[in-house]
Amino acid sequence: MKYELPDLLEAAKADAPAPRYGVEDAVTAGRRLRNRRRTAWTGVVAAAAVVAVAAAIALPRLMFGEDRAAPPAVTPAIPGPGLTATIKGYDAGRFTVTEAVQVSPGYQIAQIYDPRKKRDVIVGGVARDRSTTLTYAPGWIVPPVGTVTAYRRGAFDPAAFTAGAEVPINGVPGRAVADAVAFPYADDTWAVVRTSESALTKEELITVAAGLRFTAPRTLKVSFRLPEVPAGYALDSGGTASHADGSFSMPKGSYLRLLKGEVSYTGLPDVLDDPQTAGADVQVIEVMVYPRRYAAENPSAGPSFCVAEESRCYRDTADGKVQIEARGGRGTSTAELLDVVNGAVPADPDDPATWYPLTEAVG
Amino acid sequence: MTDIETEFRHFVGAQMEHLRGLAYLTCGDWQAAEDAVLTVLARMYVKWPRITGPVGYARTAVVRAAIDETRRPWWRRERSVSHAMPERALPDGTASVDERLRLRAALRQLPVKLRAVLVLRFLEGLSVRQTAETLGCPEGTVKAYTSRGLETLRQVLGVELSLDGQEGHHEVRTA
Repeated sequence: MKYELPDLLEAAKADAPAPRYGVEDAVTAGRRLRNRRRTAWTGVVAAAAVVAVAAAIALPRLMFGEDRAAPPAVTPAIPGPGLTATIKGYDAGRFTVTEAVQVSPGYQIAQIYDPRKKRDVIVGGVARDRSTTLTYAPGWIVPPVGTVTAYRRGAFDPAAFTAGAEVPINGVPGRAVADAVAFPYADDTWAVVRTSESALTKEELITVAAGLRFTAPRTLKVSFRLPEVPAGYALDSGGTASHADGSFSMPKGSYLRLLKGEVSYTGLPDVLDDPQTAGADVQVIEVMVYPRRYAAENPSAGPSFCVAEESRCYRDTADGKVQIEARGGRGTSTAELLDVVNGAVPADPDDPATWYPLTEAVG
Repeated sequence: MTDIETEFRHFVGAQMEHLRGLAYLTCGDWQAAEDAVLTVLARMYVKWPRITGPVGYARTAVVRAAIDETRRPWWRRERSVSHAMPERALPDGTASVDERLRLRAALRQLPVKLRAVLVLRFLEGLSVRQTAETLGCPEGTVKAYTSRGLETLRQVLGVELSLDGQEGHHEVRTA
């Protein structure tokens, strides 16, 4: 008997089990990887070796609001003007939701923490590209297990949730998909509770969603300011999260995103964590400041250095307390990034009283 | 949805199943294969605007990732074996199933790189040079692995193997 090898190979995989992953899983995994890589270059998960250990730890006081009372039902929307935040911190089951930590023209983001969450030990290591090797010291952080995003009216398009199961959120019909719950908290004004790494069950997502409430508009404070920015750039968004999507925060760190050009915050399927990937004809500079313990070792003799291939520049402050990092997208020059890190004025990361109002942090 | 994401989604929708099969034939475990494919697709998402030939890129990356899956330390590989290739063909009462299991058992006899070479050459239809580039090894290695792999399959299966349509029209017959 004679067999065609190609046919045999086809036959060997012919009874494949149902796939565990689909297109959306690939997109989600890609987004997470992109965010982790950004973080890695800041030094927090430099070696990409994150090992869980058993000790739960107290969360930084900085991350929480003052009122920890049990949350009431969803209150009417109070989006607040401009870059102000209104999400109030609350507890939901065993989870703690922070006040808003990130604000953009289209939404505000709070983070969900699980006090029982094992802290992640960040093993130090190196990150290399063709021209530069950066070394990071060991450290650890507590990652949030999810986010709560409250969109402004018209900013969110719930189309991706229409196929999800209907779930009541305080009597309002919401929709649940694999890792998120979306619900209108006012007319055409939506909130999304999303979990990372499936840390919350659907029921827990609903519990967190039901606890959402708002307070009077307040202006976030950030730990640095930019007296000057490259020509054409303006403040877009910022806060104390370390990513635009609010998925991660380095303690005592802050983040600002500058845009050159216009983006639309209308009908978004998700938070706008990369305007260029979203197709907007804009240029982007992201700036982060974080304590030196999370920073890359400076491979240069001077205070500033750049990794041009990655479109990143860094500066260590003279007192050694913090590192400033600027990241560019397509079309951003290394010279512009260098100007940004050299011009940044950090506050004292240990003294929030010295921090700057977000709306006054640029210019 | 952005144009870039739309492109990526279309690519994944069209290629994911094929890549899953490619990874499975290489590493012999459906779960590991799916993990390898997801890992590769996540990386491709990050660099999508810079990838000019996504099909070839994905094929190369998936085969390499599937090979890596077989090299993980035991504690990283510990997982359900429900989808793993059986160690030996089990009687099933259905001829086609039994034959499939027998072929899988035969493939399992091959070291992972030999398996990868056969899959790339005779399922993907790559030339010796293309296979060498995909696996990052010399062409001579590909030729040697092809010969050894085919010989092993011939011995284990005890059948003739026709490789119609492939470079050089190989044919291996029972001794």
